[in-house]
Amino acid sequence: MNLTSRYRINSPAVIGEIIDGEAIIIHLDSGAYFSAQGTAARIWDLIAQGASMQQVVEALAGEYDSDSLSISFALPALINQLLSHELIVPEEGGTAPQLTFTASASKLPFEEPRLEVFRDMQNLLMIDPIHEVDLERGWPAEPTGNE
Amino acid sequence: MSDRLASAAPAAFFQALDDAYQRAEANCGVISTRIKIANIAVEQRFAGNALAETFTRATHHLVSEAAHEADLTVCIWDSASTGVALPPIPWEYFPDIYTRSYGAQGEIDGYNDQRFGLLHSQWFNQIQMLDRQRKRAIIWVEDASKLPYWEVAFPLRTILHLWSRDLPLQLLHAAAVGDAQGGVLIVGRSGSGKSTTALACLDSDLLYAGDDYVGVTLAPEAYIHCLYGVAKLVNDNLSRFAELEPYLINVNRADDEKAIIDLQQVVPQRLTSGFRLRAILMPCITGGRDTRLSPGKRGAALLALAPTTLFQTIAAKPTSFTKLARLVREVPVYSLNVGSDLRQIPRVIAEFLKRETA
Repeated sequence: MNLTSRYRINSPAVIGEIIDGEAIIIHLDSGAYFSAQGTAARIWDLIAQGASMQQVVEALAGEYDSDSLSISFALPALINQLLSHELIVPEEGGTAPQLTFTASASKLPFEEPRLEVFRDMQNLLMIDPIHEVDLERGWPAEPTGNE
Repeated sequence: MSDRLASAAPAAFFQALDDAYQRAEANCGVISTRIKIANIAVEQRFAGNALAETFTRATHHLVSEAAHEADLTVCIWDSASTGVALPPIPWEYFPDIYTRSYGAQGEIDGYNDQRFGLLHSQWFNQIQMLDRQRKRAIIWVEDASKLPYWEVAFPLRTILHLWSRDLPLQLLHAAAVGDAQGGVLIVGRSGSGKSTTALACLDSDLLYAGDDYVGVTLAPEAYIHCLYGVAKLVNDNLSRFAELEPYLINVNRADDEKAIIDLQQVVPQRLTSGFRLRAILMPCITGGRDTRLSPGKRGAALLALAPTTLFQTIAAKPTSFTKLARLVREVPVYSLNVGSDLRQIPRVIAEFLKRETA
C-alpha cells in the first residue's frame, strides 16, 4: 500500500451498510461478517467513495485528533485486514474522485482502526465444490489432508 | 450457451416441472388449501396426500376461505407416492456432486433472474422453483417420507422469500411478541435466547407471532406478520417449558433434532396474524435474576439480524440486506437484558409496549 493506492469494495460478494457510525459488512461467499466502528468505519466509507489512501489520511486528519504521519502509519494494518478477508480489492487505473473534506472544530480522539470478525455463520455454507472436495469420493467428502 | 438460449432454459424447465405436476395431480387427485400469509393469498395444491400434512401443519391458523384469485399458487408433489418422475435436469448435474452450476446454498446459476427463482437441495432431493410472471411455484420432492424433520416447522419459506423480493416484505430469522397495539421483534444468533424469550411470553396476555421466522412489511409502516404457528426448542431448553411437551409434533425425534411444538394446539388464542412493530429487542443473558431493557445500538441490531437471516435464504441477498438496514434505521432498538426469572420477561415487554402506545 502507498498513499496513491486506491481500492474498491469487492462486490457483488461483499455488501455493507453504515448505521450510526458503524459499518456492518458481510462476505456472502465466505460467510464471514464484520463490524468496523469509529475510524475503521470512516475508512470503509471513504474506500466505498473511491478515495485514495492520501485522501483517507487527509479526511481523518481533519476529523480526528492525530497528525497525518501517525494516521498513515496506522492505515496499512486495516487495509491489509480488509484485503486478506477479500472485502476490498485494488482499484487498477482511473483517478481518485474529487472529494472535499472539512476540518472539524472539535476533533474526535483517534483510535487505531479495528475490524471485528465473526465466523459463526460459515458452517451454514456448503463446502466449495470446486476446491474442497475429495477427488476420489466426491462431494460432500472433504479432502483428507493427504493431498 | 448463447444469451437467448440461456434465458429460455428456465422457462422450459418450469414448464416441464408444471407438466409433471399436472400428471401427478391427474394420477393421484388434488388437495387444495388456501392461506393468507403475510398478506399474500396463497393457494397450495398437493398431488396426492403424501405432503399435505407436512406443508400445512404450521399454518392452520392462517387458513382463509376467500374466493378471489390467489396472489400465488404453489403446486407440490413427490415422485415416490405419485409415480411421476422429475423431468430431466437441464443444468450440469451429477448425483451427490455440486457442479459449478450450484451456488453455495443450492441456487442454480442461470435460473435465478428477474422472473425465475430455483433452488435444488440435493441433500434431501428437493427442487423449488418460482415463476413470478405466472405467479406460480412448483415444489418437487423425490420422496415425501425422506424430507428433513424441520420442513414441517417453516414450509414454503424459500418460495415466500423469492416471492417477496420485489415487495416491501422481508422474511426474518427472528421472534416476535406483542399486543393489538403493537409488538417487538426479538433478534439474535441461534442460541441467543429468541425462542426462550418468545415462549416465556406464552403464559401472559401478550400475543405470539413467531419464535424462529416472521415476516416484516416495511411500508407504509413496519408491520410484523406471523408465518408459522409452531415453536422450535433445543432439547436442553425444553425442560424450561415442560408444559409444552404434550404438544410435540416430532415426538420420536433423534437426539440432535430440535423439539417442534404445535402452538396452534397449545394457545390458539395467543396466535396473532401480526401487529405494528414498535421496537427491536436483542436478548442478552445476564446471569442475574432480573430482566430489564436498556438502549441498544442499531449496528448491533443489524449484526444480530442480517447474517442469520441472509445465510438461511437464497438469492436477492443484497436486496434483503438493504431492507434489513432500513428496518433497523426506522425502528427503535433496545437490549433486553434477560435474567433467570423468566416470568419477568413478558412483564417488562408489556410495560414497555404500554409506554410506547400511550
